[in-house]
Amino acid sequence: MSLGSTPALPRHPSLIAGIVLLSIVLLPASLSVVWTPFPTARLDIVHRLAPISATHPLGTDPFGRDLLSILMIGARNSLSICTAAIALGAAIGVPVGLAAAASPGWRGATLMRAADLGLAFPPLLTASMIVAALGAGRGGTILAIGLFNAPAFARITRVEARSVLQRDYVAAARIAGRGPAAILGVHVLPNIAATLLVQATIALALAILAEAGLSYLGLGTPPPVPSLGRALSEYQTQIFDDPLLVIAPGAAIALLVLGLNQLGDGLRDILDPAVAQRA
Amino acid sequence: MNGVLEVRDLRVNLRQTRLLDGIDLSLARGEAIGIVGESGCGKSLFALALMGLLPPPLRATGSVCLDGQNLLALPEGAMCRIRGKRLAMVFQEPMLALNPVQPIGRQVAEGMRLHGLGRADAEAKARRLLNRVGLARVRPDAYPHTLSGGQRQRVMIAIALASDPDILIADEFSTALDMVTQAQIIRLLAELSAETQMGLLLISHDLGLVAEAASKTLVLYAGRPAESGPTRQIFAAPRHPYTQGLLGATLHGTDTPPGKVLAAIPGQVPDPAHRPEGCAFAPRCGRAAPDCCAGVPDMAGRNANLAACLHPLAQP
Amino acid sequence: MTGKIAAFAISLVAASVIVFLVLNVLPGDPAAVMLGLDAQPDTIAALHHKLGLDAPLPARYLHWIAGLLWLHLGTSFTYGIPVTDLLADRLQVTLPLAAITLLLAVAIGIPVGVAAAARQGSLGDAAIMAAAQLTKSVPDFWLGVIFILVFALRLHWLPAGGFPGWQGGLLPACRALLLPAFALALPQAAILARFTRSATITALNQDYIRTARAKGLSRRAVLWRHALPNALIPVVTVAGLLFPLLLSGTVIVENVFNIPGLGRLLFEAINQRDLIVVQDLVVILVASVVLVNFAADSLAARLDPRIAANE
Repeated sequence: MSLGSTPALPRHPSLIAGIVLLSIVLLPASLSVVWTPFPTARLDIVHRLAPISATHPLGTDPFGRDLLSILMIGARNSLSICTAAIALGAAIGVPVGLAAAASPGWRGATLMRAADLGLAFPPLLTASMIVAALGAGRGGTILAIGLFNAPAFARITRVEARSVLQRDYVAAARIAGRGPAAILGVHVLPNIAATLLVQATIALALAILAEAGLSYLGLGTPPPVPSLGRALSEYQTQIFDDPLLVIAPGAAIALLVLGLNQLGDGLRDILDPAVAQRA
Repeated sequence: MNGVLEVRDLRVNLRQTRLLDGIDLSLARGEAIGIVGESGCGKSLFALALMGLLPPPLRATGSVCLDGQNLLALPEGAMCRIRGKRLAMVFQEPMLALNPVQPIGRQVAEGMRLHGLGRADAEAKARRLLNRVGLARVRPDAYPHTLSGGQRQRVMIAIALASDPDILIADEFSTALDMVTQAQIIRLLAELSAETQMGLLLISHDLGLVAEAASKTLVLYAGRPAESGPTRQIFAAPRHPYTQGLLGATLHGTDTPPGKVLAAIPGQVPDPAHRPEGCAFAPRCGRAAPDCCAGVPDMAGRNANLAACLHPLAQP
Repeated sequence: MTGKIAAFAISLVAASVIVFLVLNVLPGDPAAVMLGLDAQPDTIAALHHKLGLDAPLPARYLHWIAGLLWLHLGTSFTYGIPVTDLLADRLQVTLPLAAITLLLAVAIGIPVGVAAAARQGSLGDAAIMAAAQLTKSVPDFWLGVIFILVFALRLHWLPAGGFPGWQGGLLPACRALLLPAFALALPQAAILARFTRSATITALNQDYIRTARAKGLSRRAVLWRHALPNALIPVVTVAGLLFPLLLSGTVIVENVFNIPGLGRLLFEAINQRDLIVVQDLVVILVASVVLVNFAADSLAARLDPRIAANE
């Protein structure tokens, strides 16, 4: 029962909160592409473990590197790796889901079972294998996270695509002679795009956590490129003397994940009101 | 005037909007009253208000007296003891109204056990009730998803009858049912009503059903009473133009000459938030006069037939 | 049911094939990888022969699988002892850790979710959900490190790491597992809480809830007897999906807290390029994920008569 309408924005606190939180990390991270307060490659032992100051807003690490710069590049690094991973997952999962939706009966079911195999390989295990065989690197991380995400994309795509395929305008298009590829591209994809976007956002949040974990164990980005997870493991021994070194990278990760989670919730509220009723 | 159920000036509000505006009703033992009106006129809200099941923020005011006790003033705990035991309700949509993970026998017995019956007795009674509503061939350990819509509705009726209520409220129970099942259930309810003096409130938009089963009828329009009185009289000679419109828009079985055009009532039911000044039906009424917009007409009449109309139809 | 079991078996086989291929084909020459960059050619050839790497791939795969089924998992390259012994040793630490974590996550997450659902729309609900959102956004290893800082280093309530072994007594051993278990369990509890809440709210909005209330059941009785049994079904399925997270998390916290479990073993094996241990460990862990998913699906089918009917 609507008794007058209110403007859209104040009714979506999740979306706004998400955007704000994300920006706190996203802006410095993007900036780091062209500039950071200090170069992170150079060690500056003289200034090691410096406290917070005007020159070093977050102090320096045991090697004298500026913590803020490390966080900026680390955040950018996490985001680029994870975005690539999610894109990979979608690139694999969405076509599989579409194919499964378009194939009736056991063919579709078999396809989905095959896709579900990805769920048996958490990123940690895949990354473990790749690193043991080939050594650490960005590619391995992207592959490990991407492969684990593909089944979820496949599932959602299949469910949504099936429901779109049953609609009348699709039947009309079929009768008019449209081929299956055209139907999928013109009718199905645009209609499921919103759901996929929500899925991608939430998956990205989990990917950031996964990548941080992998880096913490040394299975992610190798030195000297700064990484939030690896920073946490490197600075863990300093925890008693300089807790900020440990708190800051974790907080950066948390902000990123929290922002993405809120953004995902907010997008879902807007794009899928039936689900939002419950949330 | 001393029925089992006495409703006085029942109103249901959603914040500032008055969804139900002043309903009166008097139900005697063993009596069946039909409540008719279009979708959105407040029939279901009325039922929920009687049961105390209005979802917040909806609130009910007025009085609903069951044997003298005002249900609206009761605390929730006391109301729980009345629901099922003295007042029971059958809902409109049976498909989703049963718990999918519990067998139906248990769901029928649940109310009985709640109101004090032992386990073995409740199970036996549930079995008897299922037989009574025509489900003799269905096992009590069956799950709802194995039953058809009609069968599920019968289970709902068994649930409602489980604790021998004084009054049964049936809210559009027939919508999901085919004609044969409908007729069977009406007959069943009439039998029970005669046996146990159970009162019946039949809420429906189906005038034929009400004509057959209810001795008195209350017609609602836009949350307000339009006409009330003995069913036969209202149907034969309606006083409120809306009632006449409803009857004109209905098929009367073999009485309707072939080729007769059903007269639709022009216009739409007003939104409760935007009722017109005065009589709510005036904008659609062919007999409207200037004084109809002045104030809300009260229910008035000489005999048992009351109508909320300043210019009611003439009685033959 | 047989269809499900067949699918389960096929998944296991497929997963093992993938693990085998990655660790035997990707590195080029596993022996060379294990021995390192400055290994002599004849040392490599000797290891080749010892590990049976001369045989064709399918034969090696079958030999390995047969070994797995009979628990002959080979000898660790680094430690020189049978992998089976290594695993048995480490399992004694990891299994209890995982069990405690699971227990904590469920014992905290589900009741919190139900409590939030019962108070939907209230301030309490919003507060609970905000806390859950925050908790699940935090990396579990970071939580672990913070816990070490607060509870071990500052408050001295619990040990900062390490594991005294079960021989030293039940209490010290459990104390050592408590912080890691909590660090791991809290984010999972948060995910469970959010999901339980939404499943419970969905259940509470169903028509059968109204039917139950009309019988005279109180709000509380309706929640416990009708809403929850329905809400727990999707929760069981989601719990199955949380298992990979539990696994990864266990590996990580064991390294944060320096606990000698399977996770620490995996980490060491990777660093030491002990491909034999890595291969066995990964396939066992992958198999456990497949098993848990299978178990969760089967459990959900038992709880929901409609699923069983659709089989």
